Amino acid sequence: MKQISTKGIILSRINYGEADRIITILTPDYGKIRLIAKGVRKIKSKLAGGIELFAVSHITYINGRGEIGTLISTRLICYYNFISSDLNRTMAGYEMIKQLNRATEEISETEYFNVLETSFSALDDLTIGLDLIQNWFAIQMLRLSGQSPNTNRDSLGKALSAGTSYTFSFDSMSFVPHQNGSFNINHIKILRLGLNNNSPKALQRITGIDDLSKEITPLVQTMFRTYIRL
Amino acid sequence: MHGGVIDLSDSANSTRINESLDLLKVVAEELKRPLIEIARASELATLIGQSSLETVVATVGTSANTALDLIDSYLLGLQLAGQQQILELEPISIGSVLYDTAHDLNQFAKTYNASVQLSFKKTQRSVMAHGGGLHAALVNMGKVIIESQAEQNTTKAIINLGIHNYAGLIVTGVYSDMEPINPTYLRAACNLYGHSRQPLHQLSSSSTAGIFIANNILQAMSVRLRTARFNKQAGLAVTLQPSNQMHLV
Amino acid sequence: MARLLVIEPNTILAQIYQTILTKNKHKVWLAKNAQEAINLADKTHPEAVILELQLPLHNGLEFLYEFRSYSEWRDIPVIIQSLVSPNEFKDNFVLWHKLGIKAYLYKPKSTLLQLIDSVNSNLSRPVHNII
Repeated sequence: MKQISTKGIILSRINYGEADRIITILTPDYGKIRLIAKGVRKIKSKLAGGIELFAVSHITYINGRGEIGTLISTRLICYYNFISSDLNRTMAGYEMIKQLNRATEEISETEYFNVLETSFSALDDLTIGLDLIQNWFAIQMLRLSGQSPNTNRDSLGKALSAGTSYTFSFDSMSFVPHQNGSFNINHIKILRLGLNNNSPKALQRITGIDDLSKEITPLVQTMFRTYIRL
Repeated sequence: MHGGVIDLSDSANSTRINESLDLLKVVAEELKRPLIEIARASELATLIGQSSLETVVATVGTSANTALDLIDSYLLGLQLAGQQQILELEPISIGSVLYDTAHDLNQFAKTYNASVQLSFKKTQRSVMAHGGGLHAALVNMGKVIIESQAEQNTTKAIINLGIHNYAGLIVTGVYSDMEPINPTYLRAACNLYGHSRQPLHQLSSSSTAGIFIANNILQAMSVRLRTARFNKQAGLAVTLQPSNQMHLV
Repeated sequence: MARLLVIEPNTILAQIYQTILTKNKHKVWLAKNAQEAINLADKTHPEAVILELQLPLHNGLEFLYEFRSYSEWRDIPVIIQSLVSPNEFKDNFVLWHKLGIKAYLYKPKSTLLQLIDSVNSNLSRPVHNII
């Protein structure tokens, strides 16, 4: 049988029989795949080696008759070890993995691999704010699911402008001019830059980004919970 | 910025204050551990009576001394780094410093089922250094490595204090059978203390304040803490300038 | 009497916990890091786990996610006994619920008596929440 090689990020591991585990892996070439890892229960693999979480690994497998292939070998390419040094980042990383795994049950876009890899890379850099990374991740998930907010025009179709304050309509996914609105053009620029796929590292260079990130967190997370099916 | 001129002194001072605060944070975090050991050991003695009192008393002593040593080293680092004392480098016998370091680490190592050995030739040249600072730095490095070995291995660890020559310079450090630390990882960690709870989590579960205190002391001597290998072991070391002068024993 | 797995990297504290829990008629195994803990859990089949979050190499959360990924370990009560203050976590309560954490003891404030009480009271209450 033909061996397939690619790189991947582990999304989940579950028991299978006495000695095996079924591993769900997100790859850039084939989207989400499920592989059976034989004889890896507990003693051998677990927290070290080629099938770590928060890592990109090189994997080799063969396709099975059904949906599940067989894992032949793994090799660690990149391990984001600073995620382990911070408990909040560890939690955030696990949440992203879980959310992405659930959101991609029906679909298998390969772009999700890039989103997760970039998110891990950002989590690994302790100079990039956690709020920013979590918002960036949520914005990418919205973008890939076709649920992006309108960051160019307001609910009335006019160009968004500096000096105007806005609230947000979750129905129309657009900003509504409002005298007592909580959002201004700076908040909208962050969203726009995120939607244009600028990385968290690039966004971190923006002056005042930490405060802006905190301020848009409720908006972004509400959009995420409303429109991303988990 | 005033009249187009950037006041560097304010910026430099601000950086130094932030770095000091970061180091204070990691030291404070580290001090929790021996104090918790003391508190729980005394509670244990109260709960179970006299039968284990000897062990408990020994624990209290070791933990209290650990805390005091950490505070002393931190203060020494502040002194050397600040303007309060003009740092005087003098020719010192590196072998003597290592003998003193081994002596100080010995009791600590026993608590963690480790032993300390000296690995260098009897005749060694002198180096230009601040003797007290170098000694404190090596003791702190040694303690973190001893604790790290205890956390990651069940067998008795052997900690080597070594000296060797390299490119006309003298390298001295603390080595063990630990996994080698990536130099980039160490450099990143030295920028992260105070911002991360476990900046060297691959080495130890603690905040590894001892490493950053050692780094602070060594920087005051214009040298740098770095990763190194010696006699098939990995560890942390410092590179020093040899001295041709007679050293004061 | 219960089989307890205590995951504690600090040698001195580990011995203290083992002494007091053994005095209270429990059987105690000690692990210093996450990998050792998984290996020991496999051998000893603990009825409860006492876990320090600040571990070398892989932190306690990583251990817990790994631990809970095994179906036979999903219901085992976990008591956190940690140097990390619970206030350091964002949205902690939802997560603790999902991870089946039955109690959180902050080491600087909690006593050995509180540890014993927590172990004894949580052994009788099974965990239902899984990630």
